[in-house]
Amino acid sequence: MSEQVARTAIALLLMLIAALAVMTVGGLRYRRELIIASLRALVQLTAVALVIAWIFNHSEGAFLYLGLMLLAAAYTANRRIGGDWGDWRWVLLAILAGVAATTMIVAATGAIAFSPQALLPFTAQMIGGAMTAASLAGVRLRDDVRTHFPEFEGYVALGASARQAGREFARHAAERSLFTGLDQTKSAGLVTLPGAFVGLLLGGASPLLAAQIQLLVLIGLLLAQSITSVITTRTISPLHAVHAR
Amino acid sequence: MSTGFLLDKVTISYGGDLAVSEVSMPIAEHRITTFIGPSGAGKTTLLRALNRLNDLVPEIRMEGQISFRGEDLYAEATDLQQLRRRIGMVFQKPNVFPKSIFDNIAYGPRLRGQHEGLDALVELCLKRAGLWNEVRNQLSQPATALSGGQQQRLIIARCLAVEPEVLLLDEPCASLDPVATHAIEELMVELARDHTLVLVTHNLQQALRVSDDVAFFEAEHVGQEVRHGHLVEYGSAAQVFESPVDERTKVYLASS
Repeated sequence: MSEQVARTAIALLLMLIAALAVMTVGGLRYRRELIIASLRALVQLTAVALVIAWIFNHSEGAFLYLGLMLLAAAYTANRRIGGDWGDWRWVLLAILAGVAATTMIVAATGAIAFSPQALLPFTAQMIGGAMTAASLAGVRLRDDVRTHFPEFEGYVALGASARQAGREFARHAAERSLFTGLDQTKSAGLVTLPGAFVGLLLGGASPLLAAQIQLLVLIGLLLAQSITSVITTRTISPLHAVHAR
Repeated sequence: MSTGFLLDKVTISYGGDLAVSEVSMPIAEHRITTFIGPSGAGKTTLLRALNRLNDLVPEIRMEGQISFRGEDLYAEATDLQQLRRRIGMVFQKPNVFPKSIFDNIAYGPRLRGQHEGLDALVELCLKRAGLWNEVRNQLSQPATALSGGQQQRLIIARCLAVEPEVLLLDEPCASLDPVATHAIEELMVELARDHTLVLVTHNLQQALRVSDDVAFFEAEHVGQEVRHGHLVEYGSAAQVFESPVDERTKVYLASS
């Protein structure tokens, strides 16, 4: 184990030095940022690894960990959207609904074992995907409303509330927020080897098992993101700095 | 002649800059009241305050009081959705929805829960807007395919479908040719029989043709750039156009 850690450290150091050298020769800036980003990744991943290792032995901690992750995801997505406190609650609900639906299906069918070791990484990945979908859907909804404000005003002038008027733009915004996930799924194995697949292969799993798990992740993400996008675009205020009455 | 709106010292600012200040005037029911004056005089801002559409822009602040039939429109308890159904708005540029002609008109009634009798209602509103004969065979076609004049009449039909008591019209003929403009003007006069109409226009000939009452607003310069509007004169169209009291009104009418 310690020998493997040493080999990893050497490889990381060599790659970092090589990257810095290339940047220097190429006259690129942001070398300091490269070092900071690498150190941050080292610290964050080590911390997460230690936390997850602890959780694997204390399963009750999984709920706390996922709960905190969910709150952080909702906060991050809502900040990107530019939402207020009222919006944050809806974004949280949207992410929770998407993640819960997906996780319940894989757990109930037994496709992924009902254990912290299996469900924690899967659920965490769903939270990340749902967070991205909420951000994209919310930002696009507000951009669309801003771009088509005369149309939006038309709905409001007929007696629609801002949220009701926003729903006329929701479908399009939700659709567009799914493009990234759809492309990722379509290109899986052709243009890129997805993260879970690579991770499982490196960890010694068979290619067929890796593909099986990766499929669960990809299709799960599509479900989680669809639910999250639909709920987000239909519930948050479509306007910045709301007078959304 | 009964008073519909009553404006009392209405001052509206946008992001701290005055748009229009200290406007006090009545707006009579079942008549066409027209706001005239140069650009920047705050006419559209004031018009949009009458159904609280300015509330969508958080930077806009209003002081003073606007009441309709004695009811304070800016009271805390005001139901905005209901208010905007009662006081409809026709915009300068026809903002048809990317839906069929039928669905454009049915949107408002469906919003308030009406799902029966929509065929008859759509036909009635299109007839009242003088558009039925032109579109009766293409109700399921996209509204965006209509001409500018037809779109503006569709917008009026769309407003009528929610049975408003008032129609606010913000330069409704600004982007229309003379034939389409004539059709809208005839429609306005027709609608004034059982609706209150408030019109903003830069076309003084149009104001002369359709108005019962006229309010002239002037843009007052503050420093070199900033300016805000205020009401100079209000009266019947005949009085304002034929014998204006204020010298500034005379100058504006003579120069336009």
